[in-house]
Amino acid sequence: MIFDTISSRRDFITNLARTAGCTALAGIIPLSCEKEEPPVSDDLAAAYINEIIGIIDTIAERETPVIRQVAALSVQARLQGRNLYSYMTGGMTPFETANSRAGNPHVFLEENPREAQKGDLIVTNDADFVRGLGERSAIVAGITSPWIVNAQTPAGALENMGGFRIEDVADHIISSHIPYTDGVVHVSGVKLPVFPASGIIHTALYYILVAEITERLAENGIYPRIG
Amino acid sequence: MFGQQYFDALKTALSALNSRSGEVENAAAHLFTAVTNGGRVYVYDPSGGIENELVNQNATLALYHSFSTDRRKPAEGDVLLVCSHLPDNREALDAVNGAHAAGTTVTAVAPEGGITRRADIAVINNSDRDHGVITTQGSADTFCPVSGITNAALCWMITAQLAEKLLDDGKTPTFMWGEYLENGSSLREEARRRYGETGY
Repeated sequence: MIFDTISSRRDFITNLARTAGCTALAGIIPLSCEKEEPPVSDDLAAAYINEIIGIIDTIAERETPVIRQVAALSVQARLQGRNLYSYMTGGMTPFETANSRAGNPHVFLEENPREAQKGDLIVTNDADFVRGLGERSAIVAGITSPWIVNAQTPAGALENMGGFRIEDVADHIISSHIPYTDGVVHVSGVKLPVFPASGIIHTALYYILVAEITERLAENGIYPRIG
Repeated sequence: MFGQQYFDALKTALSALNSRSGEVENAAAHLFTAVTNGGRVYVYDPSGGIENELVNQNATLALYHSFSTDRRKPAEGDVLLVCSHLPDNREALDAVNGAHAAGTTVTAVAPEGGITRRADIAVINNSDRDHGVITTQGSADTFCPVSGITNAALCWMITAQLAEKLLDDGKTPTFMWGEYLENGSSLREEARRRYGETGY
């Protein structure tokens, strides 16, 4: 469904034109049926930081409700004596989100997350890892990754990855708004965007969620143990 | 709300990185000199994060080597890019000393301290010396760090600047790609071949 991948009015019009046939709209809306060359920055370092900040702004704007919902569910589970687990993969993310990392307030258990049971909650960016946990009635909060198809993956972009989607296994989805390419900067002469966002964005999402959970736990008299 | 506090602190820290552009430029120039003269760039992070982030991953430069796992160790003409969220991490200091003993020069991304003082080129990252940007009643410690993120962002800025220098010099850098992409395995194989031929 084209609306799943819409991120702007321009995207809507472009997708509609491709669906209906380019000639139908030619001359009405200035479109080309050829793929447009993406803009190439003349300051790649600044472009990267700007893209990262842009993604963070989008997350703040669109994902705050679901983040707070997952935080509330996490605290509810904890107060009911259930376990909270996290399982994060990728480049820097598993290292930065480990409980041993200085400044991590140890909200989540790391050991044996596959043992999550009914009423436990697991946060992950690895949809493959949590297959089957929902059948045990564990609550799964999934953070979208570029390497697994999700509602924002452009149609046909990851056909080679099959039909499995994070939406198949997660009860709650926190969209990372990272493009399927992971790379976010266009470089002259290189087909796909480069310099990935996932390590930074997944780590940021983890700590935003941890911050929300820690605050709610503190309101209930449970204070963090800092790594 | 703590989540909003973290958002705000992270954005402030990331935005401030543009003020390090001079140091980033120096670091990129250092790496550029090495790779265009037959040298290699090794990446080391005592926590493992940055090494895993930069080396052999999707959308990164194929020229990065892992200091921890590469069979060939740094030698004269190479550069060690060492990254740490602690200013005086013992393992990082040992890596710096070992690199110098081998004739390897060092670029460091770390808080101001022993590592940056011993490095040949330093990109100072004091964004989060207390390992966190949030405090709460009941704990004297700060928590929820941003330093790992800002270290990674600085490393990507250096990478981007290095790519720009190569392009300005008429050289298209080789990028590594992820297995998950269409034809990912072939793309990776081609990247390894091209890097082996060009050295960048």
